[in-house]
Amino acid sequence: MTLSFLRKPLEILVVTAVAGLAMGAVAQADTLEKLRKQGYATVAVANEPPYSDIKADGYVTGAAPDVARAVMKKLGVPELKAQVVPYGSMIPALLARRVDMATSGLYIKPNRCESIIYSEPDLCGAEAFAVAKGNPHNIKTYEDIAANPDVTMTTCAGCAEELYAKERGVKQNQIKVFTDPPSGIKMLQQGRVDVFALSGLGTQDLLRKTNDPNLELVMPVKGVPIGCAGAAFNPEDTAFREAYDTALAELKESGEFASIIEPYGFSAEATFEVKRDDFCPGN
Amino acid sequence: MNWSWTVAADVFPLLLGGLVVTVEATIMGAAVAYVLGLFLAIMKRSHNRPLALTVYWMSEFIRRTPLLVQLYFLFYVLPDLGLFLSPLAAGVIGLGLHFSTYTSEVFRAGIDNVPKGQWEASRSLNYNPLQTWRYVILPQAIPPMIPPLANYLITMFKETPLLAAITVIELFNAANIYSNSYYKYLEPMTLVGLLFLLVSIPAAYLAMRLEKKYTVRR
Repeated sequence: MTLSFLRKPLEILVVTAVAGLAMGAVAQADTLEKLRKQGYATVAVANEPPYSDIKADGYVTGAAPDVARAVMKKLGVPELKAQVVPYGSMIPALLARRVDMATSGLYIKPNRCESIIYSEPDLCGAEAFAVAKGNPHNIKTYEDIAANPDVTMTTCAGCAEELYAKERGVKQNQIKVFTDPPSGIKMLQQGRVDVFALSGLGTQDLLRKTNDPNLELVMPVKGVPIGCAGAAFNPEDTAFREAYDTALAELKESGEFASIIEPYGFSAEATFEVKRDDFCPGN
Repeated sequence: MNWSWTVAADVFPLLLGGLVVTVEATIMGAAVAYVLGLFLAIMKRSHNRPLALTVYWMSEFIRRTPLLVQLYFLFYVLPDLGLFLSPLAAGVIGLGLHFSTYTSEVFRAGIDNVPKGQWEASRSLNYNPLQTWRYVILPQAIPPMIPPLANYLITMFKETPLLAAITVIELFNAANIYSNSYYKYLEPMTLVGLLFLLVSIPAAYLAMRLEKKYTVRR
């Protein structure tokens, strides 16, 4: 009983700690509620038009954020704030809750599904290469790159194209990752690499903007699947994800979805043909 | 977040490969910085005023702009002007050029610190300029320069991760590429830090020894 004077303070301490923990847990469980309250969601984008595009004034647009914005509006979150995150860092950013979601054409891939959860697919597209005019090394597939060890390619670090290349036998020393897509095109123009690999529409957009008659597009790249992306979430945010899926389905049905993505060159039909389970069953 | 030895073992060989590139870039960059820095210092002391002023302002310009910007310029802009540098060459030149403006100040201070009387004494002994430098000035100017030059070597070593921006796969970039593909940051980045320490602590100790050795006199 000599320590009884400690009892009260201890009790208070324990109660506050438990209450604090419980509140923390509640906040974790209901991300959507938090976003509604603060009025915006922080999204990770890669700044790769037409998937995602940050305008000079900071306004985030592009097909994926525009779909997400429409969905989030339905869910009562009016605003999106963008953070540019390289593809390879999007998953750590989601896990560390630096961002609430990734809306940038992050392809739904089994290895990614181990760490994060996806919405139903929103954007689907073929893959492309950019090469020098006349395609001097005759590169049409990743296997062609693997077959010629002298050929080098560039793509983004940790993105689907890097994975496709490695799976198809391209050696690590043939891949020089770029810091951002326009730098990758620059490397191709300067002859530092022979092949630039990225999503079809992304590559097309870059080539159109670069407008260099010495480059040409190889699309679609045969032997790789059509890539489908979805909005990506922290694996604890299943309730948020379900709500997002429901709103996305409504958007698809009403025709608004098609009217958002088709001006960017994406096909709504292609998206309607696939489900998340085709890529990551049970994600 | 749990430390995984499998990941650590997986990434370690890649990091060792990167460390070799880091050390190479540092040593070659330092060679450029020392040689070029000495020339800059001598030119800044030139009696030809236009030359001295040009060199002074050029080195101020390089010293007052970020190394990262200079690296981008060397790597992405120079090829358009007809000068094509490999990533490592651009990195070594960038590091060397940037730090030569710092080392030139070390050389300048070292030479300036030789008392004027020493120059006059050489003349009274009828030494020619070569003899003056060889037997009188440099033996007194060089020892105090050694510790700061060694410190710049360590600083350059720690600046090498900037070369990642121009696709040099040095220690940091090797870890970054791994992290981007496997979403593991804890082990690769911890090991990068440890490997940097592994080199820079002995180097710093050595620099301290040099400092003790060369500053006790006078």
